[in-house]
Amino acid sequence: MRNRLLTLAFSGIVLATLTGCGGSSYPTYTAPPGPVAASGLTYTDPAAGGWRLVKDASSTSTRLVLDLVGPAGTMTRGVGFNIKAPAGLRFDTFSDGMGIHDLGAYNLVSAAANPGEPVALTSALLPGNVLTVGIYQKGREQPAIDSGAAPLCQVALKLDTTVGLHAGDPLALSVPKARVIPEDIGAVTDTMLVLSRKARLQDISISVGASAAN
Amino acid sequence: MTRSFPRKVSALALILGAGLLPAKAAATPAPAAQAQPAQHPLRIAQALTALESRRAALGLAGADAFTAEHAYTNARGETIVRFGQTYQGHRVWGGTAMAQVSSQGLVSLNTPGVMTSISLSGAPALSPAQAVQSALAQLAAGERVNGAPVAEQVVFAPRYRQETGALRHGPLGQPASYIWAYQVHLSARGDAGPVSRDYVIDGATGTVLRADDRLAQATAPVISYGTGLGQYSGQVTIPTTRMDDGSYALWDTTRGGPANPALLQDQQYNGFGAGTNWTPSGLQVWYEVKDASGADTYFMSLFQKTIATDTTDAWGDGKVWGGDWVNEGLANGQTAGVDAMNGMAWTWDFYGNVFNWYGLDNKGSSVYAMALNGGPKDTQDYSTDVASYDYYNNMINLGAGSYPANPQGYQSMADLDIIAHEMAHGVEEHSALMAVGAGYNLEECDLTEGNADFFAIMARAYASMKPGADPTAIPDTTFPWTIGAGPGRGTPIRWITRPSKDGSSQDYWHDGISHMDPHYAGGVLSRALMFLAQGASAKTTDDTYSPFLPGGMQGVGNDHTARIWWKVITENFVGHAIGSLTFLDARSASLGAAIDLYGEGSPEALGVQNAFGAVNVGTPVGQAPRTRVTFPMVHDNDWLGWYGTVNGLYRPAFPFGETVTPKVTVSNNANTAVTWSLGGPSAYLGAGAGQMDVGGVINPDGSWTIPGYFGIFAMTATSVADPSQFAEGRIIAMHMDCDADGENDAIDMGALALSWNLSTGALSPDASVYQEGQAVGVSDEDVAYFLDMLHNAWPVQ
Repeated sequence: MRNRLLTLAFSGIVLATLTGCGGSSYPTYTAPPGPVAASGLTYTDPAAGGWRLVKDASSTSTRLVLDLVGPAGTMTRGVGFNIKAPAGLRFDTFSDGMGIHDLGAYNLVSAAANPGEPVALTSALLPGNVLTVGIYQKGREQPAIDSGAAPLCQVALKLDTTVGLHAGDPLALSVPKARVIPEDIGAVTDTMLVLSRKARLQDISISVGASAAN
Repeated sequence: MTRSFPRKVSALALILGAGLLPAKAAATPAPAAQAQPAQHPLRIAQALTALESRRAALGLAGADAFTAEHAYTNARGETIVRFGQTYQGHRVWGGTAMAQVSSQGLVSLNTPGVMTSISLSGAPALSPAQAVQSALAQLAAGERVNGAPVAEQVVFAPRYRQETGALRHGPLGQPASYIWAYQVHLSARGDAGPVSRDYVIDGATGTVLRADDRLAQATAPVISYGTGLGQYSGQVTIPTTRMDDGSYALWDTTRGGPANPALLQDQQYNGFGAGTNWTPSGLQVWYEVKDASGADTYFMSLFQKTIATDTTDAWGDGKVWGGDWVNEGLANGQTAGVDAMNGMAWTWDFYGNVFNWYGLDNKGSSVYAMALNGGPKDTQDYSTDVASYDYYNNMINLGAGSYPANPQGYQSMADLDIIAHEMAHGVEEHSALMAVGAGYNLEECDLTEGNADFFAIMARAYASMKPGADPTAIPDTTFPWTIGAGPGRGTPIRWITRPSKDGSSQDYWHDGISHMDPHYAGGVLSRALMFLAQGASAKTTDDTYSPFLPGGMQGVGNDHTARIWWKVITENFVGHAIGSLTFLDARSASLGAAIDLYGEGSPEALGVQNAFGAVNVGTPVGQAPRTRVTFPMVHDNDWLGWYGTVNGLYRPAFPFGETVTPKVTVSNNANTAVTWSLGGPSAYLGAGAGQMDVGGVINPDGSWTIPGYFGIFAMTATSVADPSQFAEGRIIAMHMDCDADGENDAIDMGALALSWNLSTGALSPDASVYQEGQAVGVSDEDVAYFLDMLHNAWPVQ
């Protein structure tokens, strides 16, 4: 026992407390508190302006809901992006079982649509813990919307408690790819050459805030 | 040996001494007589009253009504009434109710086929004539329509839409919506053989919603058969008719009453039989009229002697058809006519005397056979080495056979078991009306073929009865349970005792068996009924051995087995060709019938369980449930299920080029591991062999790397715990990289959305998911399949 205590003291790994228990007693030791196991998440929004993912008020201490917000005045018809999370974070689903939640900003149903027809809203979990989501207006007659007027869609994450993270451990999220359908996609009356030149997806950059285990 | 037919057994004769009637009758035998009980009108009314009393409970509105389509009184005196549903006076496609009325007037209803919540008004935008034009546009070049097609306005549920061979599959359920539509029947003939097809035409757009083949083919088209006329039935007495001019014809006026309307119509439009004072009733045998080269003249003729050269009533020479085209009506050609008449008459009497069923439709309507179909000018088409039943014309087509010109071909198709097989289709289509045809991927189609093979054996057994035997009972078989051994020159077309002996058929059920041609899958049913009738062996080398019933079983005999299965198809099955019946349904319906007829715990009831268990449908008595491997059904009741058109409607889609793990379910075993393999029985065996995509790589972890091209791929999953259990499934591999950036992800859907519904076609050839490389329009089907692919490949947990 004594040898072990000495080893610990010399190593300086822990701050041992030796307490005397009488002249003839060996000193005793109480272990210090270790790192606190993480049970939740924190998230700090990125700077305002531009495309960004901001924390939604519906988030809880254990479930992070991120809203996609665009730059004010930028008119778009849909957006898709891939968001990569590190080990320790798991993408969560919404009540409909999807990894993306439509907030109603885009007009997903064509004006001429029949009820129940498929809408261009989808999500999938790609290898490498990459959530890919897309939400698009498929009806060209629907007007583009101001991407900054209101959040466009949501994704959600949860802490993976099986990984053994500690409070304060950083959890860096990134968005390696994102594209939008711009406002000007040409008109059906345009020539195919003009139409095909205008009707293209545009790359965008989406800022992600700092997240950490808590 | 000269055979003749048993007389129809009258009720009085049965009372006085069943079984004592002479089986050897007059040279021209008496037929099975009409059996339309006088009480039918009353019982139909009782059934309708009971049905109407359930109107509220069934959720029907005032515009819904029922029309009695068919009534049949079984040997126990119960009347089974089938009602067709109507809405505003128009037929509801597939809407059916059944009622069983006891001799005391007690009514039991069977209503899962009733369709509710129909709400339609107005009329179809299209006229009936426009609907007919839409149907006519489907005919191939060279096909000539018989008569003037008529469009019937119907109510149609889009969930039953079917394109490129994908009928609805799965449990019945109430449709979500209905539309006005037309049903158009086209009957045609052409170089590619007879055509008999029902089209359902969208009343708003003219789109073809369904095309249901009404020809039931007995054999696969590409198989070559030989010919041989007259050797099947040997020396027989056959019913004929002496005509006005003194000549004789293969016309049996003693069987069947009502004229055949289709034949009358053919005469009217095509001049068939003109100048013969012809009354198209009874049983008749005709032949296709060819020129000297064997080419089709598009005329047909009754087998009738020319009085100037032949005044006898002697027919045929018993020899193989020698191909003396243009002289088909002479002795050598008559031989096929003899076989045809013999087979039809025995089969007719079989149903009449054993089951009290009158003809094919229980109305005694005239049936005619068309012998010597095909010929050297159409050796590659449907006709020569094939037999089929035509529902609308109430006729059977019997190929002439291509042998000996084609050494690998068959002889004449006019053998009794082939004829009885086709006539069984006719009876079944006027009772259970199960779905029929190849390429539908429905177990119901498999049941249709298995049913026809089983009753073919029963009719043949009936025809083998010894003189003095009870003509109302089916003797046990004293011959091998095979089909088509005559046309095959000793090599059967199908072995019911062990179907796999043909090199293609399956001996046991597996999930996905319906991907095979129904003739190769139907053996599961006919073999189960064979086990029930004559038992299963415990000797592993016997054809009647099953590893699923290693101890074997005793049979309950042909007669009891046939009565059980007869009750299933005439009373228990509500088919209506929707396509939802499965082998498990056949087992449970048979068990119910056995209990009804012979009692719970009877050898028949226990035998049904053992017999079906022996073909891996359910489990035998006392066995624990077996491991089951099944592919989950997808899109059963969603947008793709209703409107999808890509062949493979109920199959999951995946992005090609990716590595994925398809879903499969293993039940009744804690070990759910499976071994994956490429392809499956349907991809390698039978008529569909080589037609299914097989490819990719099975990786060590069980995942599958999909080939980099569009296709509908066959995959097989086999239980690791029980390798006797496997399932064959289909997976559609589609293009996903619509933005052509080399990555499959949700962003690709943006490129797809940009091209959606553009009248000019897709902006990029990459935009379409299943027509990649073609600048075609992108539709909701692309959207739906894109969603399906992404979800199936990488679901968010």
